[in-house]
Amino acid sequence: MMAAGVAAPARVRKGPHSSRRGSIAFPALRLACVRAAGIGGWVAGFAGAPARVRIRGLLEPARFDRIPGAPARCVRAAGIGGWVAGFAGAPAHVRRPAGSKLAVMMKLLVDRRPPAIAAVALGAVLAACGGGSGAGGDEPGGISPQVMADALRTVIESDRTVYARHVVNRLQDEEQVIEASEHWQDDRALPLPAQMFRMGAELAAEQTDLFRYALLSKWPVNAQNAPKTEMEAAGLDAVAADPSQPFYGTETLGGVDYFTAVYPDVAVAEACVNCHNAHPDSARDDFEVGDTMGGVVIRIPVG
Amino acid sequence: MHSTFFRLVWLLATVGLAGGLAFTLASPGADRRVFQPGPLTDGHHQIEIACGRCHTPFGGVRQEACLDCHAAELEAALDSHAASIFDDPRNAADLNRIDVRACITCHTEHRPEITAAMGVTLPADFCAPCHESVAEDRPTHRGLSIDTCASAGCHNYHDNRALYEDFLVEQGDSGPETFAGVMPPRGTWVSWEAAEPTPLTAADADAPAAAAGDRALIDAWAGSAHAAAGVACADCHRPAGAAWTDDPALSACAACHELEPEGFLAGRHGMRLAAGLDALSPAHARLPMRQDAQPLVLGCGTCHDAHAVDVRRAAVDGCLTCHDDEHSAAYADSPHARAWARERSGAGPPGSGVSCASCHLPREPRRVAGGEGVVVEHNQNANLRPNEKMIRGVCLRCHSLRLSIDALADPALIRRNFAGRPARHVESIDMARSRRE
Repeated sequence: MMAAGVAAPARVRKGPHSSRRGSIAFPALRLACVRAAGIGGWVAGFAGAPARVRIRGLLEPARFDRIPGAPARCVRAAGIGGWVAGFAGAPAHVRRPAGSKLAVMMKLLVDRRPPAIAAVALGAVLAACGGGSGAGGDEPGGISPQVMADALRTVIESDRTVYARHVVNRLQDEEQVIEASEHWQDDRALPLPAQMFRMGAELAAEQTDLFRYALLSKWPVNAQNAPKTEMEAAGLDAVAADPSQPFYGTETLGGVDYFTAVYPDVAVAEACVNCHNAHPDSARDDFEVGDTMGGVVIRIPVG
Repeated sequence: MHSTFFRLVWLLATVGLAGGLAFTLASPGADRRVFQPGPLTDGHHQIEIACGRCHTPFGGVRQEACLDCHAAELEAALDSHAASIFDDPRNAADLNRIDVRACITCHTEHRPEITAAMGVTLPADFCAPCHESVAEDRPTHRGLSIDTCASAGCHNYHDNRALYEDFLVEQGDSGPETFAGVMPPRGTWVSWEAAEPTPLTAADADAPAAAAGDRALIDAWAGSAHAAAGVACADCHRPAGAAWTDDPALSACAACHELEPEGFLAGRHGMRLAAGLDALSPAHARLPMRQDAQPLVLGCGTCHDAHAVDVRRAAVDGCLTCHDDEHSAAYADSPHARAWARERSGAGPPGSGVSCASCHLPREPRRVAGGEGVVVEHNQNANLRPNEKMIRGVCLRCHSLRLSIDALADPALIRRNFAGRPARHVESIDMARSRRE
């Protein structure tokens, strides 16, 4: 911290507040208060995430992770804003007097305080809160969520078809080399195509938040794969009625807006229909090759 | 005057207290239990002074802290409720009711007043948010209370390897309740690089004169597998040229035995060492332990006599040197102990006896170095709780699934060390089979 009396750089315009410096009774005290507020906000901001875990009674254990990221970001940004304000709010003679851009900016801020300081802090908070996890689709010339979903579906559906036809159907049903089994570890067998799909989706989810995909059906073997949201139900109905058209919509889940696309999932091999028709937990036993048995749901967070 | 004096006293006391607490908090080796909001569960109290194993500097708990120790066993258990299953926005409504992706949603530490079996701190009806309508799909489940799913011997939350429906149907076609099974032959997995595989005799003992005074020790070693494998005194007592020690550390054993220490460090016996603390002692235990065992500390040599290398000592006597609870005390009169005595006397075939280790540190088939091997699982926790974990690796070697499930669901029978019959029948196999008829 520089000693009092260091001259401000010549190229910085003397503001109207400069002359009033001597009239403030306790500049050091005021500086300390503003700094403390800044540091407090800073600490609160970083402690924000653990704090919500620690406040028992207000938040039950099961609610720990329910709080979306935005409030934490707001608190953190407020902390950073407070820190900046605390620095900027200090009398000019304790700030860095060098003629750097930072000093000039700070000087201008001080000259126009407090509205300027408030505006900067507020701007920082709004920027942090508003800066959500967009998919980048709204940038001019970027890839739209629908194009991205269509592209993902092409890859997913191709891999799925190859596994069902050339691995499971060939090895299990045609050449009878090895079976596919739900309990593939125990039975030393091939994972079922639906499990293959699911394992891939879970592995992808561990690596990116840009999208999620799932294999669902109105006639699922596992009840957890029945439609859960209105958009899933509408989409599965739509692609079952007209498999030639994907279904697109938007929905808000857990406070996040999603572009949701539903594509038909068609039985491409005997193995698909044989297993689903025979499974004790299956809701249908009359599938035929070529039928739409369910749908691939792809979600992309937007906005 | 007085007022100034008391203010000074108050100031000093405040600064002293705050300074003392801050110093305690900042010193890695200090006993920081003063900051504990409540006692830890049975599974974690062993490492209670190692706050940083779980906590971040600001007091939060990292999910990774749980997974650092438990991820491997959850993966091996084919975790029925793996977090990855639920990490999809379509589950947002369910997760809003109970966020099952975070371990601490169900397992909160330092809360003994609400902690149930398995360290679960949710009310016993925790299955309800997602499974309350189970009876609609499963008529067999009508009238069953939702708070008994995981406590009646039918389901576990994470590990259902022995309890899933197809397994019940396949294994439940009851054969004999008990048959003459044997444990697979034990494999010893050692790295020979650390030793000269040339058999040694008592004349090769390279202990310094001060340590070699005990003739009986030298003779025991000369007859042991260690001497036969060319492992001399200095290989363990002076590892890598270090100064002679009478008590070789775990690392000396681990230089050749790779897999066993791994399991030991992952279980309750070794978790203090794994956390960088001093070794566990029976004095730390919450289970009843023998009074005369209190001074012992747990390392490989506590159960294994490295000179004689009689692993049968470790299989029963090693355990009963410390453990003194009802189940342990009842072992001597149990049918399992009789089978163990028959094997030891030569009346029973190798592997037919049932020692403590047969069930709690069992021999397990494992892929080792590209082949199928049999490894003694030294993580006693891997087969402990929920006790249905034990069914496939242990019980089914000699018993039917039906008897195994019933026996493990009967706490009184367990306390008697399985002397007698299960008091009640768990209907899970019957329910599973009825759906297929």
